[in-house]
Amino acid sequence: MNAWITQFFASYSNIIDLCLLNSLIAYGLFLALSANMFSLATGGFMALGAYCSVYCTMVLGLSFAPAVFAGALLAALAAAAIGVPVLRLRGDYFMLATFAFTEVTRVVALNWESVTGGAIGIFSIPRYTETWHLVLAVAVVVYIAHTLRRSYFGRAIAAIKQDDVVAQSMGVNVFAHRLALFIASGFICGAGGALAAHLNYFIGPGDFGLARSVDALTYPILGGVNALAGPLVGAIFTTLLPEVLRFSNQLREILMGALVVAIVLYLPGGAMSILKLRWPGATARETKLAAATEQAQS
Amino acid sequence: MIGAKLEVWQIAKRFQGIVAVDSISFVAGAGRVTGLIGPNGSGKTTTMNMITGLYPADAGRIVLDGVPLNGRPPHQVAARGVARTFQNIRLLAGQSVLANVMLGTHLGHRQGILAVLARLPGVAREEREAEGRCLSLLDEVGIGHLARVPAGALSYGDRRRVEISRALAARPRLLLLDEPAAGMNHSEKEQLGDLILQISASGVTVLLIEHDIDLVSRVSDHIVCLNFGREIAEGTPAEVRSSPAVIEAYLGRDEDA
Amino acid sequence: MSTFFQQLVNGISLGSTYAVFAMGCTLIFGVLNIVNMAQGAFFMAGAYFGLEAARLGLPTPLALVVALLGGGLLGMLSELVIFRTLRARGGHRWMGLVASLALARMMVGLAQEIFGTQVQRYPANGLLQISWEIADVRIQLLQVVILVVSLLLMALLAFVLQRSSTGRAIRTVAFSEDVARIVGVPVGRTILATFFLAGALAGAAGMLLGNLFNVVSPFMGEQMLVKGLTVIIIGGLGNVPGAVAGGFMLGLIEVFSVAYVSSSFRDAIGFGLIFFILLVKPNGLFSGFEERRA
Repeated sequence: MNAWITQFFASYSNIIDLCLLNSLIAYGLFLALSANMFSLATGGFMALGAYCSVYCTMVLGLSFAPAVFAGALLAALAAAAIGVPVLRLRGDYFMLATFAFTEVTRVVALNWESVTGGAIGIFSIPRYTETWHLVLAVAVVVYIAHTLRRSYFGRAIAAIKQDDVVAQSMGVNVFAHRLALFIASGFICGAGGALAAHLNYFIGPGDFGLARSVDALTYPILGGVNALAGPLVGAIFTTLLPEVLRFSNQLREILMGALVVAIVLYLPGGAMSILKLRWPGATARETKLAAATEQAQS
Repeated sequence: MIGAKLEVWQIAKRFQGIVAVDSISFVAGAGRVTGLIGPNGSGKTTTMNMITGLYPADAGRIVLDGVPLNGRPPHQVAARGVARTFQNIRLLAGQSVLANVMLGTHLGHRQGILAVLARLPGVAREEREAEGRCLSLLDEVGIGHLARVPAGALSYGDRRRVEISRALAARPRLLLLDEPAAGMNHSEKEQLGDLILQISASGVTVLLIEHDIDLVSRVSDHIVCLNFGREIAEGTPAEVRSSPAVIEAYLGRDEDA
Repeated sequence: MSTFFQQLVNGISLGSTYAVFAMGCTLIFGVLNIVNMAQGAFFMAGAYFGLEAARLGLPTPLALVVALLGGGLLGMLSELVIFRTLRARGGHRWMGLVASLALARMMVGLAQEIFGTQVQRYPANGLLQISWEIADVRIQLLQVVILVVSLLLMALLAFVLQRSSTGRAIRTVAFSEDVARIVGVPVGRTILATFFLAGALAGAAGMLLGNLFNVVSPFMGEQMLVKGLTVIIIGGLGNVPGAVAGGFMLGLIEVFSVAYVSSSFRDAIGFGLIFFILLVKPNGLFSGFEERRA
């Protein structure tokens, strides 16, 4: 049995690491989405975390832990810097501004050759990230998310998500809550970038573009943003599926795309909504009410 | 507890050139029920939204117990002890009744985020106290048995009660009720009137926006009547009901309809 | 000085394709308050439609019509399959973004499957190779044609929106869906027509840009989506004249920053501009053009 487990981890350790890493990122996005922030900044945050931590380990010779922390902190600072002006804007402008941030970061990474290696990227990064680091990171984030959800902070955030006028009227400082969540999201994605860089031997600007941001959003939305396990389920599902579907790259893209469309259309609450028990009779009125609230807000 | 005195001095609001509130002044006396009446579009809800900070007032002053509220965002106004309900009921439909009412206790929580994350015993105690208070509030308004039901599954009248309970959970010094009787039948209105008198008796200042003039007359100490963004009459219920301007405003509306 | 005029010519022709593409994006936003992230894929598909039509021997104007119709039909398909269903179910607005991105992903995969990942080129067209040199400034006939076609498309869209009954319906729905319903505008059909127009503009832009750089690849749509989003921020979300002005502006900025700053920071300048605009004029640089939506 023991031998079998060892064997299992040896052959699948790469994919397990990838699942964990994507889960971590998924929770970073989950925090942002839980207060209605459709953030496309993930690619930018991960790039900051990755390049900063690699600079710390390879150039400054820092050890791994402070390097990851530095990367995460830099991304958190960037989140604060974007968040303060942009969170006051309407929802769609927030999305577009975070998108612009990711693109600016990518372009800077492409051109600041002395630090980032330009288009070629940075090779032979020491492999410091271990599976247990990733497990620990995901566990810490899940614990924090779980504990917050059950507290008055969680209630305030849920209210912001559903109806921020109500939240404000009940004394919730909507701006402060959203800013804090966005900074936390930046910190987690920055840490994710740092861990990813020390897992893959290589980073380049192509790793952190719009596609990265979009993939990261797909995890929690597919898994479901109302359940705590949603991001985990979404990340693992989206990471494993391409491995299971051993088709050509193109066919895989087509199938993944079709699958995402199908889930969005038939399970609009995300995959976790299958498991969620609902009060009979509530659902229909609830959807109507939610639609009405949405209309009233827009 | 003693309610707060609300003073509104010549406030005004325009939306893209259209005057919603021209110039309104009134005083809601501490611990009393003040009724704000007027035909549709007379500026009642806009006035309430300016008091709670949702819309900044273009002109005038809003003062609560001597402290100006103008220019403060809604959450700061709420922190000064102002709670409200909404004309078009705004509950978090998917969440339980209790969870909705618990949102009202937000400002009462004193534990910081680190204490919450460390799960210090004080956090659980505070949460239990808040929950107990919300459950007894729900009992008081007569829907204690529905605490665990999703708010969206409730009847119209019950949802109104949840909204009032949520506002009361904030321990307000001033409670603003925006057409709480809308859509209620006669007996529900009676109960609502009793509830408002009970809230007032506990010391809370109440500002009641309402169409139903019988209900307003029954519970209010003082009534302000608005039309076209200005006040046209003010006084005791009997005085306002016999005011020619008020009669004309209401009859005029009937003719339009 | 000649560099300046040369860049001006290049920037205007490039910017005109951006403008055509961005008009479609902003049109959908104006009507539905959403961004259709599959517009980039329609752009890519339009380039391939035009390419295949040209290879079949169709003259260039007809090939352009094929690209237009192809893009338009794909746009309608995205509405019928994704957006209409989501609206009927009261799905959250994120869902449209995620689903349209997934649709784009499918189409990129499909294009690779059909056409391969290699870059393809339009068949040589002797006529379009003509160019003039005026005082060191080289103007290609191709650039002129692209500009003229773009201007025609803009005029056509303006005509449709201002003069036709469909255009009036589109403007009514953009103002308020409820109002449109009350005055008897067929909302569903109008939205479908909007998606057709937007897809057609994207398809046409694909063929134009594919000709301008003579490069067609499955991945060209993603970059264009990025440009399109930039332009609609510059112009103001939902503002069609703003998108035209923003498109020319982005084209000129890119070309001039390559010439005078550094090729590598070309994109950074565009995005720097976005930040500036979002902070200073969140309704777009040209927010005076149209009445602001309530």
